[in-house]
Amino acid sequence: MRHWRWMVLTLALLVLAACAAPGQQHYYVRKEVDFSYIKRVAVLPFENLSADKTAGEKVRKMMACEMLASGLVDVAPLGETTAAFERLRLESPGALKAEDAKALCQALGVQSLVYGTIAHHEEVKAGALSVPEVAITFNMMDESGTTIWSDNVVVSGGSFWSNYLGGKGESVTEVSLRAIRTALGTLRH
Amino acid sequence: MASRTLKVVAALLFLAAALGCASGPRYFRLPIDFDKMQRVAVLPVENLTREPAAGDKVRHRVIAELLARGKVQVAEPGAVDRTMRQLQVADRFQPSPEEIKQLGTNLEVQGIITGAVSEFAMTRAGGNLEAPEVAVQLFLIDVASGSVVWAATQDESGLSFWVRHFGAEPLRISEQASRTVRQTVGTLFAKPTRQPFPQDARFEQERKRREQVAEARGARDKRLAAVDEMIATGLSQQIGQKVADVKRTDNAVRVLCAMDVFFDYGQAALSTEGQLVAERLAAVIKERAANQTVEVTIYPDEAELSDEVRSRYGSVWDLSAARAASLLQRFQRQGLDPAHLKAAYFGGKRAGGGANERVEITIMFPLAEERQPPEVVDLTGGAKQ
Repeated sequence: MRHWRWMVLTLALLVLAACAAPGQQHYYVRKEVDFSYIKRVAVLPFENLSADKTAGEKVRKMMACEMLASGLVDVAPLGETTAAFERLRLESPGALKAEDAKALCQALGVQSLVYGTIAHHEEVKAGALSVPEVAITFNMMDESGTTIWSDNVVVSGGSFWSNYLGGKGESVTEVSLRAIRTALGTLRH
Repeated sequence: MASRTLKVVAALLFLAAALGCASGPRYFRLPIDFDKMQRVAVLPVENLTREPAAGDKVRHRVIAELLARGKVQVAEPGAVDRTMRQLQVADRFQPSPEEIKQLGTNLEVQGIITGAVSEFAMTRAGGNLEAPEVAVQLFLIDVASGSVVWAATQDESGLSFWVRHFGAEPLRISEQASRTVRQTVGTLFAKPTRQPFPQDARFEQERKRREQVAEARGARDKRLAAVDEMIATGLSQQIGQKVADVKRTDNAVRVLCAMDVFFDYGQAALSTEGQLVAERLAAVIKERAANQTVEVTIYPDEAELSDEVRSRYGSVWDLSAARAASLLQRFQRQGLDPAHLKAAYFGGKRAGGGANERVEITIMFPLAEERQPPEVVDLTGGAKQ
C-alpha cells in the first residue's frame, strides 16, 4: 500500500516536471487601449541579435501563424507588409516614428504593428548540459506610434524530466513556439 | 479497493506523462468556397534550416498532399517558377499584393500558398536519443481579396513515447516531413475556425474617430512644444541659475519656480522679479494658450512662518492662499481670462516632498476627448422657476 502511494507521488512529480520548464516574462499592456478595435495587424521583420541567422524570419512566420490561430486578429500577408515597408523606405521597425507608423498602418489597412527583437535563439550551455534558450521582446504599436503592448519572454528548454530522466527534450523551434504562445497569452487576457 | 483506485490514478498519470505536451498543428481558417477556389499555386517554400534543399522537399510534399486530397487543382511548379521569373517577382517567397494579382491572372489560380520550413533536422531529444524534427508554416492567400484565408503551423518530432521507452524504431526524416506536411495541409480542409471580421459602419466610425484623435494629438504636441520653447526662452536667466525649470508632459506644460523667484520671505505680494516673470508667462499664455486652463499650485515652506508672519497670516495655508491670489491677479491684469485661472495650495510640507518649496504653474492642454464636460447643477432652491 505504502509502495503505491510513493509511486503515485513520484509520478505526479514527474508529470509536473515534464511540462514545466523554466522561463521569465515581463509584460506591459497600455490600460486605456481598446484591443477589441484591433482586427488586423501587420507583423514586421524581427530584429535578430541571436547566433541563428534565420531566427528573425522563423519567429516572424511563427508569430503570424500563431496570431491568426489565436482567432483574435487578421494578419496582413507578410509579403504585403515587407513590400509596404520597403515602399515607404523605412529603416528599422524598432525606430519607427509616429508618422511612419501611421503611414504603414494606412498602407496596410491595419490597426497595429507587431515587431520585436530576438536576443537568444540557440542552444546554450547550462552546466554539463546543452539546452535550447529563446529570449524575445515583442512589441505592438498603434496607428499613433504609441507602444500598446510589450512583452519580454525568456524561455529555456531544459526541464527536470528531460535533463535527468530521459524525457523528451524540446528543440529550439519548440521553445521558440512556446515563447510566442506565452506572449500571446498576455494579449488574450 | 483503495489500492485499485491508486493503480488507476497511477496509470492515468503515466499516460499523461507519456502524452505530455504532444499537440497537432495550430491553424486558422476562414470559410473557403472550393467551388470558387478550384486551383492554387504553391510558391517556393522558404528554407530557414541548415538542410540545403528542405524548402523544395516540403514544397513538393505540399503539392502532392493537395493533389491527393482531390479538392483543388495545383499549378505545375515549373510553370509557377517560370511565371515568377517572367514577372520579375522581387521576393519569390513573399510576393507583394500586386505580384500576387499578376500571378493569379497569369497562372489562372484563385489562391497562392506561401510558406517556410523552420526545422528539418535530427535534433537532440533527451538522453542520447536523436529524432527527426520538421517544422513548417503555410499560408493561403486569396488572390481576389489579397487576404490570408488559411494559415497553419506544425512542429513535430519523430520521437514517440514508444521510441523513447520501448526501443521502437523512430521515423526517418523523410517520413517525418511527409507526416508533418500531411497533418498541416489537412487543416486546410477542416472546419473554419472563425468567420471574417465584419467591416461595418461602427468600425469605420471608430476608425475615423481615432484618426481625428491622432491628428488632434499631433497638433497639441506642436502647441506644447511652442509654449515650452517660448517659456524656456523667457525664463532663460532663472533656468540658468537653476531656480526655474520647464517640463512638458503629454497634455501640459509645467513651469516650476523656487518660491523666492516670486515672493520675498514671508510676503504674499509678488516681488519685483516675480512680477517680471509673471508678466513673461502671461504674455506666452495669452499668445499661445489663451483658452487653456492655467493652474497655480503653491508648495509652501513651513519655516517661513515666523511669529511676525503668523501674526499677519495665521497659518501656512493662509499665506499660500494669499500668494496664489497675488499671482492669479497679476495674470488677470495682464489680460488672461479669470475663468481659465485656478489655484491650489497646501497647508504644510507634503510627506516625501523633500525640500520642494516651490510655485508651479501648469498650462493644461486636454483634448476634447479627454476633457470632462462641466457639470451643470441647480442650487438655486427652485428660485429660477
